[in-house]
Amino acid sequence: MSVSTPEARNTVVPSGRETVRSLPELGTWEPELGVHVVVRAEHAGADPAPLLADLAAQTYPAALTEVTVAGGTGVHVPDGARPERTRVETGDGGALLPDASADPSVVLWLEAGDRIPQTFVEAHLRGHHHVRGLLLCSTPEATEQDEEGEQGTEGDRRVLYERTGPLWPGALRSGASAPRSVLEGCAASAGGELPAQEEILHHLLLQHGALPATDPEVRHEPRTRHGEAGAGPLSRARVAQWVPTSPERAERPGTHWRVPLAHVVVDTAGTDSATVVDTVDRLLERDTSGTRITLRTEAGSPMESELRAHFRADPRIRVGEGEPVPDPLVPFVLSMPGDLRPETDVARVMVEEAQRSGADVVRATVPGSDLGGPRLERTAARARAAHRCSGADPVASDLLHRPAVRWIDGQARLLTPSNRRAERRARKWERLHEHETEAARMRVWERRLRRRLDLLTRTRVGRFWCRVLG
Amino acid sequence: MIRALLEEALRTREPGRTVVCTVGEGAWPDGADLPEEVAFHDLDQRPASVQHVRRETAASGTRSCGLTLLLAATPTDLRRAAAHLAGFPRSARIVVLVAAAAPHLDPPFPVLPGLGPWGELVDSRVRRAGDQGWAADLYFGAPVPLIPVVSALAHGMVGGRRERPLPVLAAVRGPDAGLWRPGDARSNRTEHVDAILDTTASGYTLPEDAPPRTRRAPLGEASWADLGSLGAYVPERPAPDQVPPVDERVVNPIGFTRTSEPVTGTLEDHDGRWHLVVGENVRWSVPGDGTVTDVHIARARDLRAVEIVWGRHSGPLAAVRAVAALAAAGVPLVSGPAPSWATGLGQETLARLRSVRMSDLDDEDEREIHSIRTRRAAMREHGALARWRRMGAELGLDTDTCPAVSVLLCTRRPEMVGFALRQIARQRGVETETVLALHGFDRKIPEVAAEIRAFRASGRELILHEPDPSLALGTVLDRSARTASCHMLAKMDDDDWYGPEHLADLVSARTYSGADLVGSDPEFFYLETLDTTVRLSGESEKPAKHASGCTLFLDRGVLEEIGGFRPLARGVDSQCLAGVQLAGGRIYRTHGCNFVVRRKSEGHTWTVGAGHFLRREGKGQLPGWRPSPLLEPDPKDAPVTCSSLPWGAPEPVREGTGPVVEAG
Repeated sequence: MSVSTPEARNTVVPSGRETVRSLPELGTWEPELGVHVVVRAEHAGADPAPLLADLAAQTYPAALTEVTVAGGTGVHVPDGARPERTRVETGDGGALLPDASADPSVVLWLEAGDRIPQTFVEAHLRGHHHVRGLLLCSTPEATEQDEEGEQGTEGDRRVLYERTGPLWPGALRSGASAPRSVLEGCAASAGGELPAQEEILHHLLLQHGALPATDPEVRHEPRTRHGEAGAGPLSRARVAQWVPTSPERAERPGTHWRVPLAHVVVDTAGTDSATVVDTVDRLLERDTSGTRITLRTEAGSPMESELRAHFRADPRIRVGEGEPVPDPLVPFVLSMPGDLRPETDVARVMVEEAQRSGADVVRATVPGSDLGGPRLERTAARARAAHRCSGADPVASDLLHRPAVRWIDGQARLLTPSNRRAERRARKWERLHEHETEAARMRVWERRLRRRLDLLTRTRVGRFWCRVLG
Repeated sequence: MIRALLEEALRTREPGRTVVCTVGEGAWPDGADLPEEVAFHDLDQRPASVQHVRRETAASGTRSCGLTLLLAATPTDLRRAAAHLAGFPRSARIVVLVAAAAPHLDPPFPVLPGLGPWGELVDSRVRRAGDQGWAADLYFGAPVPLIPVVSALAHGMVGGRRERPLPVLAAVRGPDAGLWRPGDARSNRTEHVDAILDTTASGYTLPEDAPPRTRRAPLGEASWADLGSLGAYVPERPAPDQVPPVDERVVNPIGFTRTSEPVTGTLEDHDGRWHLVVGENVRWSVPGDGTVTDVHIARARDLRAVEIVWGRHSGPLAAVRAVAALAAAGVPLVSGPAPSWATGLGQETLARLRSVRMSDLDDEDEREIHSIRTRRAAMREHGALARWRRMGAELGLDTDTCPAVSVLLCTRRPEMVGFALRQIARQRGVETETVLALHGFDRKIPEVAAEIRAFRASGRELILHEPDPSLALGTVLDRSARTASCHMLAKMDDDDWYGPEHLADLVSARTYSGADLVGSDPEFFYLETLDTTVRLSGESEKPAKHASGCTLFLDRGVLEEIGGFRPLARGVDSQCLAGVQLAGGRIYRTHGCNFVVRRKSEGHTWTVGAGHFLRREGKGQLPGWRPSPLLEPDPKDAPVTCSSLPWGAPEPVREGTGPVVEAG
């Protein structure tokens, strides 16, 4: 007789910064939010008719649905099945939002060539009804299964995965705009009419508090491909100007980026101006991420005038009272004391820690003060939290992620020169090289001695001399 | 290699009798392969009884040997061989060959007790035999008894200052003497014993004034075929105490690692015998008597888990014994419902085996927690020390079933007295006597008096003293140690959290490691100012130079030998550790899941900032107070924190408003 261990239930376990929410089954919940579907037909030859037919057959109530076909002057919507409230907008193209319509709360973008199942719109709105502030993206049918198990299992389909990172490899560079829906307020605060670059749009929406999510039941069939997004150097440069973490930054080094990686706020309370100047100089000297610095001082104080006099010509530095006006494009804000005197690029070290750990807040302890060290905060996290505070909301639940706080040792990471570690490493390599050189020299000497020994012992002459000399 | 060493020893032997003994399963030579004049004995088949010894010596005489060779498969087998060596003649040369040993065991350098035959020693040589084996060759000027030499060599392999004997001085009759009293060279005696354990098949006749006796089924007669036979003395559903115990000095958690390969094994039967199968390969086979040795354990350490497929081994007792040994060694085991004949494993151990699934053990933390819980249950139910304590109690002998520990607690903070006493009050599995030093205040403070009353009302012993505030911490601890009455001393801090099995685990570690000082691996640190728990990555279940100062656990004798605690205000713990090392003692570090160190911004004798721990975090940091689930935290003693959850538990999503919120 043998007994085997029962098979474990095959559940999908989200990894990293994902959270799983359970959603009600399609058709069993009560819709309240309006949706404005924007069909982008910007490219010549894009025929929106099949997609409009799909939209007409949607299970989501038609009374809550408006459709706008946005495209160039050549766009044509033939007669046929289409939703009741459909209109055509021609013009420059690239407009992401229709003209203001008070009713719809959600904007859903589709490409004219896409095909969608009957429950597509309902599945999108289901997510928005249950979690506020989503940027809900559909998964193309051709996309391979994500290695993180994002697809869920047969018995576990009604789940929503929220994450704070990219959606799937190549999602932003596929060339095909994935249908996505977002609260109108979020999209409006992101700027409304913007370049339709996927990466820029995604970055802006995240910075304005959207929480990207996917639902395994939200899938579509992309039929059109519009080439590589932003393949040209000009367009990549445009992306780099908007998004601080794009790889193109490395190709164009400089200290004056339109979008810095972090906005540094230096608190000058309790220090003197010389110390603050020293701290700021160290920050600028080691800066590799285009930081922008605000020195917070008391208005009218001698400190303020001294600092203004010292830094007046530097466009990266602002001196003033109160909190700086937040730039929604800048992904991080770093607050630090004026007497820190860092030995490393503080912003980059802490941003890298935030990116590596997924934390929304990174704090560093400094000698003598565990709580008085630098503090880095992800602005998107603050925006997400702000989005979820608003009242008068038809959304049933209002959930807040507690931001992850990550602590690091400031003494080792910020106040110890990194080249000291490099120096130690270099010394070790030097010693190793010396040992190897010595070993090579001794091997040469050994070969020489062996040749002499062979001469003496293996030749007649050598043996003769050995006998003679004893 | 062993065969080559055997042949070399036989070739270089001096004239005289030669005896070759084997113990354990190995590629041993047959008696027929040896020269005629060489006497061959298989100790596994040799009962330890006075009658058998008399029969043997009557046949062979009592003249001494020129050479005695003992071939042991593993140190586990060497330890149980000591019980079967009674009656062997003295020998002028003793060669012990161990075919394989677990990597963490020492070479067989004899640990000399100061008495015995060692004055006759002329020459000794200890060397490697192959990759894993050892060979010890000892020459004496005059023939010496075999048992003290073999015992000293076995003790040298497992380490420890002195061999701690099993409780209840018992004699064992029958072929299973070495299994029931491993490492006990006196188990063949008949005089001056407290009890007799009869493992013979037919029973053993004793005189009227004999000590109390108890019977157990011999493993050799407990096969499946014997179960149904007439007159078989094998219970159908054995209790745990009817299964030969696990020799915890060699089969124990030493060597357990948190990391493992993503490979699992299966303990399954092929043709009536169990094998550990990994993939398609058989890693090792379980011996017929179920003796899982230190070498078997070492070869299973890399596995993530072992699944037990309850097939048929040689017999029910042997099968249960094998599983109990794996469980006691901390090998993560997973099982489905056990068959009815497996009751000998014990309810607690069986429940542990069934409490997890294989997929749960993919998580390192879960795997370690499961291993710790399983080994606790197995040691309680099958460890040799605990087993003989219970048997002594059953036989009416006055043996303590629960170890007694004196806890040394010193505090300068009246507000922490209640918290500290609660940590002690929740300890399980040990009897405690607390020596509480109120350093700088007295017991008349109302809150302090109330806490002391509540502690005493729980029935626990408490000794109070109020040392002068000018005295250094080390002096205070020293005085507390002198006041304590138990021979085991544990130091606990007044502000750290301790799990209910903290002292029991330290007692167990002291038993199986044989170390002079035992402590826990410092892993969990709660940084109060940051409201963050940091988990350091350390190595546990191994001898070490350092252990956490809040968990020092040592014998009173060891403390006296190192001169007590030094009269210092700071560094008392590190000086204690250094003292043990300088005195040649052994320090053992067990797991760190039983306590959490509280670090405030000030007020510690060890003055380092929070950055010191952040720099060394190996297993990450989590917000709030996040102890291991093994701490079984009491909500009453949890700190004021944003999050109080077990380490690794996901944080619940909650409703909330406002911008980014954090502590500090």
